[in-house]
Amino acid sequence: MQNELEPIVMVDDDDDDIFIARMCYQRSGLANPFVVFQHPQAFLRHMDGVKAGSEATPGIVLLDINMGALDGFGVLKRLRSEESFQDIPTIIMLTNSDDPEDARRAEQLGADGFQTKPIGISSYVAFFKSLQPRLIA
Amino acid sequence: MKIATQLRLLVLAPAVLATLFVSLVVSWGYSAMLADEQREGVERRVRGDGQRIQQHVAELTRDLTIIASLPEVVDIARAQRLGEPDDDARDRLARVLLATLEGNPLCSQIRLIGRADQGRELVRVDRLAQGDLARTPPGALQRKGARAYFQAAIQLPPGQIHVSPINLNRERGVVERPFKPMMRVATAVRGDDSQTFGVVIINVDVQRLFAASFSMHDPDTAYYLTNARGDYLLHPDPDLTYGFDRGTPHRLQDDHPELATLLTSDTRATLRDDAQLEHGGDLIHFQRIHIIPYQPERFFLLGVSSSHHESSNRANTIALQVLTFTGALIALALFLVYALSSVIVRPIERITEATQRFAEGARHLDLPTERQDELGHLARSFDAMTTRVTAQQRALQQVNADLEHFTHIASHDLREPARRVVALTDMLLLDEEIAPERLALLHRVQRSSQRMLNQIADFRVLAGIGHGTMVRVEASMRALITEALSEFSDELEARGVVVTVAQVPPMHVYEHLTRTLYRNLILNALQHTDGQRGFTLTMTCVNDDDDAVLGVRNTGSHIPAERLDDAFAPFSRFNRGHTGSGVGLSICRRIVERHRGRIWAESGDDDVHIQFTLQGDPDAERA
Repeated sequence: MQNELEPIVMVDDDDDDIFIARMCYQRSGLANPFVVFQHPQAFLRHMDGVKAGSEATPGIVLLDINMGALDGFGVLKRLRSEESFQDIPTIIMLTNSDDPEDARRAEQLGADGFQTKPIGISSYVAFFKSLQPRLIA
Repeated sequence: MKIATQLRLLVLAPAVLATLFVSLVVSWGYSAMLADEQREGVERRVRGDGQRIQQHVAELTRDLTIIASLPEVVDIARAQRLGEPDDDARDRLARVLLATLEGNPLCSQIRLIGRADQGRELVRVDRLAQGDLARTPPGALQRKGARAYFQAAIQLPPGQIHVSPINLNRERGVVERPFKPMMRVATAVRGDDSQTFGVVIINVDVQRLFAASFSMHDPDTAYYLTNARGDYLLHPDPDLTYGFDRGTPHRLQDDHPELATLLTSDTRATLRDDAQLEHGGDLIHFQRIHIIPYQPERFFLLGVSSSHHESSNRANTIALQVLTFTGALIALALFLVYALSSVIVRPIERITEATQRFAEGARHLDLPTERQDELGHLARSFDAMTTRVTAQQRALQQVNADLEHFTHIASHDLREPARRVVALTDMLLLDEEIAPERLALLHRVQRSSQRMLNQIADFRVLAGIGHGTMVRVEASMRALITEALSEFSDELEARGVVVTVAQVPPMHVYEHLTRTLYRNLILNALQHTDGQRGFTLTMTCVNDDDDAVLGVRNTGSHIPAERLDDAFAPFSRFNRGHTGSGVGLSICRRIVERHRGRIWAESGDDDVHIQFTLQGDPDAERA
């Protein structure tokens, strides 16, 4: 049963952020698999697998922006440029930035949400809980 | 007034004034010349006309002298003396006199009057009313011995002529109508015995004499003629002539007392008489005209008025021409001044336009740098200045951009680890098995991390980062103040601070910024009371609407009057506290300015009151 739930994918290159997100996710009570990609290229390869049908389609992708060579905007642009991924998956930019310009750009490139990384565990947990309605039951 | 206009006026005014002055001088000079000419003209006229009348009288006296010496006259005288018939001689004389009458239209009657028989007329020929000539039949000849002219002439030495005063002709004692002014010239006649036998007398038709002597029909000239007593014989108004014969004398000296001397001494005079304008002129020249050279007491006063109309017409024509020429000169001057001043002023206008465009932000300016004069120097200096300013501006913009970028990166990069420390500390605190002393340490770590995040947030506000899309909302100010106070509830309680919150209406504000504003003001009060206990902290509000003046007042601290103004400068002494970022009040000012409001500080001996407004025109706010 558990394997049939859509995975929640996080793309972030920072170990600490991944650690904190994982801890908070565990406390959110969501049962979906939480998959993490530390390298954008790895995530894109994963999405190639999704297209090929060998991987499950993510329910939600949490995409960091500031990731070195290929940043979150680049990943977003490449993904949405593919016919298969124009509407799915749901992509939310989860970033340290609170710059309205970044939010605007993300929306233009096809992101479904923009979230500045919450401060403190309780806010982070609340954020994950708020994702529930976006997932297919 | 524009400098171009001033310059044009400056150049034009002397040109116009000079032109007007020259025109006036020319006009005045010409008028004076015309006046002189008018005077000379009228004098010439009087002289000429006077000479003409003298010539006519001279001709008459010559005729008279010839008649007096005719053989027929001598024959009559001898026949009379000898008591012989003289009919034949009278017939012959009558024929000569008729011929004379015919030849000289000025004569209206010629007579030979004998001394005998009380001055009986011997031969008389007349020019009748219709112009016919006729000899008076012997039976109609009259006695004239009692007449003044007979008496005067009969006593004259040989060769001398009697000229009678001019008066209206009388027939049998009554003035003949229509008036017939008459002058008689007479001379005595001697017989072959050298005795005075009688007189020859010619009646002169004065109207014809005047007509022959004067240009009576010239409409621009009027004639005045008086006898030696001043009685008018000729006047533009005929009713004033021969007053002495018509019952009411009209004399020149009565009308013009200043001319009375002309009657007593041989002088001449020119009179300007505006009253005579209607008679053709205002300039009348009078001169004495002697009738017979050897009778100085017998004279006329001849006055001729100038042809004023003609001269004034000429003057008007000249004035019009001068006016036209002046107008044309002024127009030409206007054109030249405009053209020349444009040449001079154009570079100034170019520099002015360039400075305006530079002020508006343009960088490519049209400046007259090629000129070699002061304006060229000014233009080159301005050009150099703009180049320098532009370069400095670019450099400054670059520095600002770099600084902004740096601030952005720094605040972003600092916030990330701080956020992680908060999150990780949170997680540690969730561990229920942690030792109490470590728990206290963790709480300290957590507070410090949170403060660090707050300070970063302050710096971001100060640097203007991260509020690009804010909008004003109607916020419950009371809720905002309560939230801000709650952040300091532990310290407020621990220090026994008496907190009062005034009634504050809901207002349209940037909610997050307003909360930050109150937080910083409360923090500022706590920091500057140096750990004092029991002071009061009041959230003030004056006016109960959007124009409200809000404030935070605390007792227990003080700002010297001279430092009130720089209390809001970053890192000023009053901004620096052991727990603050050093920018607290600067952030407050930044937030208030962002609301287009005003912030100021007041301080008594033991209190500080920071007040501010948050109203302002939303359209005018910075994006």
